[in-house]
Amino acid sequence: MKTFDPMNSGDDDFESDLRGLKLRQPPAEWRDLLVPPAIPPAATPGLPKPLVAVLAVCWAATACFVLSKPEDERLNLPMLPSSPPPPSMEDPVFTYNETPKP
Amino acid sequence: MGGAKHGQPEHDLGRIHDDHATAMFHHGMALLRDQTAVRDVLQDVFLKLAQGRVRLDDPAAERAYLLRMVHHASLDRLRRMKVRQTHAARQTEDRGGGDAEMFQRCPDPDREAFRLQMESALAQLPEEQRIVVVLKLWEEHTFEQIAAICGIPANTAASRYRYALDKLRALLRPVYEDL
Repeated sequence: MKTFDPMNSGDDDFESDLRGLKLRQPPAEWRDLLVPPAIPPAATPGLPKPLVAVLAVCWAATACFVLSKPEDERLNLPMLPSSPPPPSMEDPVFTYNETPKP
Repeated sequence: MGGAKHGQPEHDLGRIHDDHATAMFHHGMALLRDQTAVRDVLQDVFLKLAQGRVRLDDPAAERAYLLRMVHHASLDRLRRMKVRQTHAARQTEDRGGGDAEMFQRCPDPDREAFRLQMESALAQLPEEQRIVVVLKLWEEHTFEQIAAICGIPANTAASRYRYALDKLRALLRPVYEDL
C-alpha cells in the first residue's frame, strides 16, 4: 500500500524542471548601500607633517641644551670676593658683659 | 568578533555580504515579492550588524541566523504592508512589475513563457508555502534547516512543501504539458 511520506518528495522530474529556473541576483549596487565604505586613512585626525617635523626639531634642540655641559665649567670651589674688615665699635653697649662691675 | 567601534568591522560586513546577501535577497523576495521592500529589510539587518546589536559568534550557523533575521523582518514588514495596503498599491501589485520578479529572464521563448507562468504560480502561493519551496528547491536546505530558519517543526515544513508543490503542479500543468 502506498503511504504518504511528507519527508520524501518523490517528484524528481517536476522538481528538477523547477530548479532549472535561476533565481534573480540582488542588484550589484546594493553592496555599497549595505556595507559602509571604509574610512580613508587621510581622513584620520592627526597633526600635519611639517608641524610634526618642526616640533621634533624643537624638542631635540631643547634636549641638547639641557643635557650638554657648559664649555667653561669650573671644577674648583667658587671664589668669594674679599670682604672688608668689620667696623670697630667704640662703645660696645650691645656686647655681652663678661666682667661684671663690682 | 570585535567591531570597528561597536559592531562588525567593515571587512567582516563585506565578507558577510559576499557570502550571504544573495540568499538573504532570495529569502526576502520569496516573502515580500517587492525588491524595494527587500532592500529596506536587508539594510535594517546590515545596520544591526554594523551597530553590534546582533553578534555572529558561530560561523557555522551564520547563514541560518541571517536568514532568520530576514525572515522575521520580512514578516513584520508584510504585516504592516497588509494593514496599509491601499487601492493604488494593490493595482501596482496586480500589474506585477519587474521588482516583484523572482527569476532571471530566459532567452529561450518557451522557457520564458514557463518562467512567467512560474512567477504567477508562485505569487498565488501563501507566503509560508512559498518560502519553504524557495528554501528547499533553490537554496537546497533540508527540512530541518528550513524548520530552524522559519521557526516551525520539520514536519510542518515538509507538509507545506508538499502542498505547495501540488498547487504549483496544478497551476503549471497547461504550460508544463506543452513543454
